[in-house]
Amino acid sequence: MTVQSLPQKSSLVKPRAKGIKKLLTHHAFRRIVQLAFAAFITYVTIVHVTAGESAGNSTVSPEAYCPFGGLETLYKYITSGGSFVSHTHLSNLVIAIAVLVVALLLRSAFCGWICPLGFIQDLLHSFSAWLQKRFVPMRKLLRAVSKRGQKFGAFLDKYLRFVKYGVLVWAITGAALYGVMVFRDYDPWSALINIAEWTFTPGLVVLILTLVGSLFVERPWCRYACPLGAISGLLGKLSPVYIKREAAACTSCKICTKACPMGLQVHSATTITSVDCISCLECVGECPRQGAMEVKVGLPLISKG
Amino acid sequence: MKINPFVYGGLVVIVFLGIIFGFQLSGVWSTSGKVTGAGQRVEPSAADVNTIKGWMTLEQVSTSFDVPVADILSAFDLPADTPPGTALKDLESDTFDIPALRTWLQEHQQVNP
Repeated sequence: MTVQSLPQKSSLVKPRAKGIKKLLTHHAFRRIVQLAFAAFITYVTIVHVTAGESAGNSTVSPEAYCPFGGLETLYKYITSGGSFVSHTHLSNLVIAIAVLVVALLLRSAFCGWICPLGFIQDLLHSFSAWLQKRFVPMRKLLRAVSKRGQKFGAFLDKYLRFVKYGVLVWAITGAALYGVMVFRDYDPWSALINIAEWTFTPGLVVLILTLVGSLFVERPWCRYACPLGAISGLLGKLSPVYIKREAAACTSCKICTKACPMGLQVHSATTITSVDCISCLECVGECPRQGAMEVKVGLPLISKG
Repeated sequence: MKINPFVYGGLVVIVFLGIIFGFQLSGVWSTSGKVTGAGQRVEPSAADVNTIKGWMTLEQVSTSFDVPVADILSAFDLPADTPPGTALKDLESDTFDIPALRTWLQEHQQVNP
């Protein structure tokens, strides 16, 4: 009998990139894509604020590019034969369709690769990590607090993740019942793009909480309250794409779990098909083992174990 | 089948922008309530209160629906010295919003046909 020996795990270490290849990572590519979309929406916002309404179509409101506005206006658009709830246009519907198709094909990749609010939260958390590296007392304090509140934090994290589904139902049914965007005044994105109006809304409070929270928890808005992420995650269940952890090549070093901005326990899963996965692929990029974490295509809804 | 993370990121951008550009090329795109998808200017029409948009001014609504600006202002407890050229969306408050104005104009039309 021939015994085929498995390759030694040490031989499965990814080769270390050198020179320019060190910079050409998928992480850098993702940041460039996020930056490009954030720069576009910043440009639109600045033009809208500075040029006002007098320069024709060039002063389009940044709200016209909000995909969730498209979902909020969908019911009215269908039932009224083409009219929209205030602050939304045909562009909102088109962008909503694009986000939903991306979710059906590539899971919640809009959240991980395009969403500017997600990008801002990513940047703030990176800034916090940078600060903690340089200021040891701050790092020690945060670690001590995190250690003490570990159990309670895990409990909160588990149940707060359901809040986004409530927000989704409230925002969509509210817009359908009342013909106005009931969520708009509570939406941190709306508060951010309308910040030049200097209007105090509950959304401004949510925005401040999100930005401050991002210093301590990665992507708090995406994890707990984003209604667009909620519907993207649910639709993503039908996607043929998934992330696979190959147990034979994995050493359970937990680097993937630490890299996950959504706080998923990647190291203990066989396939990562969670509704909360934003397909940023940080787990795949950070994994030091060859073939341990891979993006794969399979049949939707079929067991991928 | 395995997908390279770079290819995956490229696919996300191509699918997302591809759908948007596809709709734009088909003429299904409008980022403003001031023009229709076909590029025609939107004007308020007395026949349909739903044609009222936030960017329209008090004066435009007053002319189209034949209602004095002062009547609109007093109906919603707005300051009497509000300039007629003010956009409706700039007047939104606890006592005034576009759906409320539409409802009020509809009732006003029924009382004063």
